[in-house]
Amino acid sequence: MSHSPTVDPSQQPRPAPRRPAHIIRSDAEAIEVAQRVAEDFAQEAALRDRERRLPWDELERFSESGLWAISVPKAYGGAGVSYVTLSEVIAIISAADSSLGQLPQNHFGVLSNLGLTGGEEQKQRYFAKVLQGYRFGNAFSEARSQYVTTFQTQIRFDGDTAVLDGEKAYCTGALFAHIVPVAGVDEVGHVHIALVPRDAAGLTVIDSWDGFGQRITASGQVRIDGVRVPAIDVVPAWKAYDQPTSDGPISQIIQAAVDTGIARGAFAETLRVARQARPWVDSGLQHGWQDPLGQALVGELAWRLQAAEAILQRAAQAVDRAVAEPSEERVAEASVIVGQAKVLSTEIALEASSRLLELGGTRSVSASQGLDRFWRNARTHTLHDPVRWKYHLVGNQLLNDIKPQRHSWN
Amino acid sequence: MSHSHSQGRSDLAHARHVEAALLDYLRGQSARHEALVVAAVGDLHIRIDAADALLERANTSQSTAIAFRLAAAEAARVAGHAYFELAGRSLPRPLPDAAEPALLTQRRLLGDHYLNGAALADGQGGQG
Repeated sequence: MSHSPTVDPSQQPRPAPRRPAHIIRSDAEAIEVAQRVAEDFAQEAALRDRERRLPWDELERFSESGLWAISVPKAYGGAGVSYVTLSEVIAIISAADSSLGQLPQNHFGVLSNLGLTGGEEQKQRYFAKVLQGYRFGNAFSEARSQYVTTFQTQIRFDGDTAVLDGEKAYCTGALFAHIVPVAGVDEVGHVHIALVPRDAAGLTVIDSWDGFGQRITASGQVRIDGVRVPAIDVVPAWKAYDQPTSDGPISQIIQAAVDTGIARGAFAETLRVARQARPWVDSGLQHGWQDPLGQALVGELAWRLQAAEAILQRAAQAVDRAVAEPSEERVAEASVIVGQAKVLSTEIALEASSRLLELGGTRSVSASQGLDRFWRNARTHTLHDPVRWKYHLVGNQLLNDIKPQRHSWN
Repeated sequence: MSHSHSQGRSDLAHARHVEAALLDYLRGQSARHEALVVAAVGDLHIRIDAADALLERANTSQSTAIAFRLAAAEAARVAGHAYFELAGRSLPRPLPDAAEPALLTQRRLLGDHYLNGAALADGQGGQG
């Protein structure tokens, strides 16, 4: 007897949410919901990572919780939370499962860009969709362009229709999205974002992500072959960088929040395994948790994590100031402090996830525990953009009074 | 204010003093635009701002006070290293105002607190 393959309908791409999302009304509620959702996501985080089990059901619960809509402005029916809150929400989720923390990264970036460059009708329509539970993915980066900021994907306007052709890589969230924002350049080199329905003809999302970390983000490729969308569904994204806006710092602070979350998760696990570790034979101690050398390592991680969290909060406050007053000075200030957050969160995520295994001892590397995922996730996610140039960004402002360039990576 | 807290402020002030001297020196040098020099200046500034951010929280608990103390010490250490590397000289760090637990002891006490819930006595990290 032959069996035809069956496909779980809950794991099929959908152009719309299956249920309306809860609408979060305040910053405090956002934090409370994030903590509750994070508890849920922590339960099977290691299992999902080990099996590379794509988080279809978890993402449904995530967006239905209302957390994907918390940055929708109050004028459009959302909570319009501060970036202090948004970055904390991302860190909370990322501590539980950093792939799930990363998945809305570009969604929130698109919401920011929509608010800055979208027309009134576009904002009303798409903010309403997000409040209903729609998820944006992304098809921005390209593997073959010279710089991350340059695109070969073309967008051509043909009357009231836009036509796109190209190939994208590292498309976090695209597989699970209801709408896939695609970045393309027009004939004069301006970057636009077309909001493409997930089931649009010519749009192919390829689950080709095989990174050893952030395994369930499905950050694979997207092929765009003659995709046609109404011109009204195209946002002039370039305008967010033609003048000073908070768009770049917003994009970056979410990165730092993910890494801070990884560090938190790794530190919490470090405490757990270090309490269970055996004492070293030469120490003369009865218990591993009495080990003064181990305690000092924990202390080192503790203050560095506190520092990363304190700077992340400062960075988010600077982003909030840049949102309120998008002057050249404010935006540069936000980029610089967010750059600091990127440095400190990268350092502690890598350090904590490595010390976790050192303090846990050999028993902690048992694959059944999956504790290596913290280092794999930290190493992978912190490669989003080279942190060595953030030290430079900070120093150049201070030493040479040169402001950061305006793009999505600053 | 405890000795540790006071010493943390002293280290942070020293780091800022060295940074200012370093900037003065570098602004007269063509190397001010070299990537490695610029990044080293950024690295130092990040350590100073991290300590400053922790100073804002240092009065909330003994653990935050120790965290500030250790961050300030790192800022001072990185400042000294950067000045030596980039200016070829050293600037003397002021002598401590008063005795405090050694930094490595404070690091261990903080770790014992997180790992085992050990109480941090007043003066180990110091509230202001």
